[in-house]
Amino acid sequence: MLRNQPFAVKLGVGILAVVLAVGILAPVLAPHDPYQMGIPYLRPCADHLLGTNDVGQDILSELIYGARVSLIIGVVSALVVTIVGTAVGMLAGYLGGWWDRVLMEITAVAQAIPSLPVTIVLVAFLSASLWNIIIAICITAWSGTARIIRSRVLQLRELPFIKIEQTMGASRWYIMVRHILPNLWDIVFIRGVLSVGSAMLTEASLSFLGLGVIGQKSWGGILHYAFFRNGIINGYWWWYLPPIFCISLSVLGFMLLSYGGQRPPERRN
Amino acid sequence: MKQPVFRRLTALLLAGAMALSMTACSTADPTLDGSSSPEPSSQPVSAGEPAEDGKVAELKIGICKEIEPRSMASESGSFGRMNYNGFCAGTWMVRDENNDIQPYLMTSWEILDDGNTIRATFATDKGITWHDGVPFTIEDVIFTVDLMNNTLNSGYLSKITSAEKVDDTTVDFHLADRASYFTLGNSAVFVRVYPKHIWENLENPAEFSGPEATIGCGPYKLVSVDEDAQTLHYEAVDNWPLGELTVEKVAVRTYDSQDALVMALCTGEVDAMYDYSNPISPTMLPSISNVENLDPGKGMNMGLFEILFGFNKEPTNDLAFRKAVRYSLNYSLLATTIGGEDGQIPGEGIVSPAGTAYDDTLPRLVQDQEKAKAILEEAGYKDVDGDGYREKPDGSPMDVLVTPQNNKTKAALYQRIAEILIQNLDEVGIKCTLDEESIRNADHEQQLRNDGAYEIYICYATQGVSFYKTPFLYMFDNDLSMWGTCDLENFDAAYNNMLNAQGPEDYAQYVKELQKIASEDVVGIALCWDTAYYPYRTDKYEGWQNFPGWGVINCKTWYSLRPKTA
Repeated sequence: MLRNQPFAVKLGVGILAVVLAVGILAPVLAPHDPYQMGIPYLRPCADHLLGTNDVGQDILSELIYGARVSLIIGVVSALVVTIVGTAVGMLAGYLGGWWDRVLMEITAVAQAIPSLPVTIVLVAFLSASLWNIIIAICITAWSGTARIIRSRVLQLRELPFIKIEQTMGASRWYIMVRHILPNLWDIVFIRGVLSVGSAMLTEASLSFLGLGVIGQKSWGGILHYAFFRNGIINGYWWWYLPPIFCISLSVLGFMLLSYGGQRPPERRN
Repeated sequence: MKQPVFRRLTALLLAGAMALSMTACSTADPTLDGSSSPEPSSQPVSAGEPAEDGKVAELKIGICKEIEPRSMASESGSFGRMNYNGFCAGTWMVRDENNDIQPYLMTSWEILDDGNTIRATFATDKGITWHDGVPFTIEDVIFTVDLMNNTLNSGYLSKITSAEKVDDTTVDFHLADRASYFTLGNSAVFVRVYPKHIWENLENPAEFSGPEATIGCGPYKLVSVDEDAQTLHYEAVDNWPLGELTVEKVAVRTYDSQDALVMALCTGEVDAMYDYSNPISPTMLPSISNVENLDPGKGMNMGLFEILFGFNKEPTNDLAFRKAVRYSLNYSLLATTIGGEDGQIPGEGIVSPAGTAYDDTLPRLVQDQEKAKAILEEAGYKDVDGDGYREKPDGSPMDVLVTPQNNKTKAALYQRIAEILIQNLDEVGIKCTLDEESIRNADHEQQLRNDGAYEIYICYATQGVSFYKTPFLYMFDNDLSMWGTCDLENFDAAYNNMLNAQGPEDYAQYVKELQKIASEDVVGIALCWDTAYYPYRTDKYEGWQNFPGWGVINCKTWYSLRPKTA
């Protein structure tokens, strides 16, 4: 299946496979317990390849364990966002009428709300946990997907094969599930994959601002302490560059993977 | 052909523009650039040049307290904090580099009537005027006591029951509880004089925020406030009678963070920093250690991080438990995390070597987790259900709440300290929970503190508090503290005796007694004795005097700073 894909997609899959493997095999790969405290502010050395942080925790181990939180939040948030966005878009686009009006009004409201500030406020009000962060990220992020899906469904429902199904008396739900949804695959895939990267960036932003789960290892959390405990002003690059690199690489991986949802260009005779 | 010519012209224009901007940048030498315009400006504070008459034309000071024109009279903003340096508002007394009280507007004082009266003389005969030209009189002093005690509800002069005029320069302050020595020590630096002609007719003085709220009788008057640029501009008054002022103008600029302030010092945007009881973190030192012409301003710090035990709660009201906690903690790690390379492992007596009456005979803290476990076992804290955590002696589950002080600028450090505590206590089988609600919600944290409902509370005893009230203030269960829960009779008696001390020897005796009680009864634990760094530039001026824990911006700066001679 991957053989027919462009190089960008293969590269994206490769990057994500590595990140996923690191997250799953964290207990095996991490050279130290990321919570074990030792000598603070060590520079990179043989025992601590990326040095230690302000309480003597091994930064490489933090980074490896941090992949788990970032991936879980990214993937789960993207799943929720994609499922909700697709459902809303399909219902609004296919059913039309008051369904369309109500759902699109809600979508418009959700789109009008600035997402990051709302997420920050929600996280500040809800007790900070993995699931509350996911809820806060998802609360407005579905609206873009819903609007795009709706547009596509409006096109699809006017196509002859759908009209035939309707004439034959197929139910609305049957048509939506069996005929509309499969034809949305490319959009759903692209939106879903891009949502993972977007959610990972949001999580990193929240953790950097100190709104992540306290004590939990995440890439944004590593950056938070690197910044607020003077790692950046002191030029401790081994503390703040690796999480930035990991976040960027993962987001790039998902962006490259999204090319897999594009249809090949039609050839001209 | 036209296109290449056009491109060349565009490229030439762009190159010219870049060259011009680079030339402009290259002349941004802080010693050559800024004129010392008295006009408010939204431009960043530019570096000034020394005046030709051997005086400093304009001193640039960086601070981390917001300039808020609507609360200028408040002590908490940058205007109020600058007044601690005998500056604009004019304080009764000042403290010198040895932390000794020195006369200022209050030129002399005498304790009478067995400590129940202070006879004080003020500089009302020296020709000092308020910055609006009205003469400073003894009525202003008497009015200040009334205003602070009855309207502003300030605690500094709360022991003064009445103020009685003796003559045009002298006033008798009558006090409760023989609290003369306490009142002098407690009010030095902090108490300003209020102009009666401005404040007496106000409907709500506590909310007064007009331009007149900043009128003082100190050596410098506020001439402009630029809220957008977060800058205050001051000028020296003419013919200041209490000494020759060597600084003609002062600009105080607020920075969002100490990182930004340190960068401004590195680039020469400001000459020195002032941040009351908030020196830069010692862990920031590597960023300035190699900067030319920047002195880190090192000095011993009286302020310290400490933990308080909730005496209203189990198990923190149990001496055995508190002793076990003291043996559990990794003080070496705490010292490095808090104080960087300079951090010292503190002593059992809590008071730092920089503090008054420090008792050097008390032992330093040590980590001995085996001993901690033995103490817990003996006291009945055993793991009954085999989950790896100890239960209380009555067999009920034990989960100790660790609450860090809610502090916006040092939140990350407080969280790190809490993490270390929780992990160390976990190692001896004490289950702890981080009070995340207090980290995120300042109101919740304050309520918890006010209710005395905390179990282990991490806080910072500021330099100002440590001057006289000592770090034991926060453990003292009294209205003065508002935080403390310690109900031990010997501690309570010793602290009250210290507050009512009749002189330095008396005071020192009780501070030493408190340290001994802290050592024996573990009323709290100091987490680190650290060093205070208040960096300042050395390329333009000389005569800086670095007060330990206070910095080079202090009550002497205005009289000692001079342009550097070649």
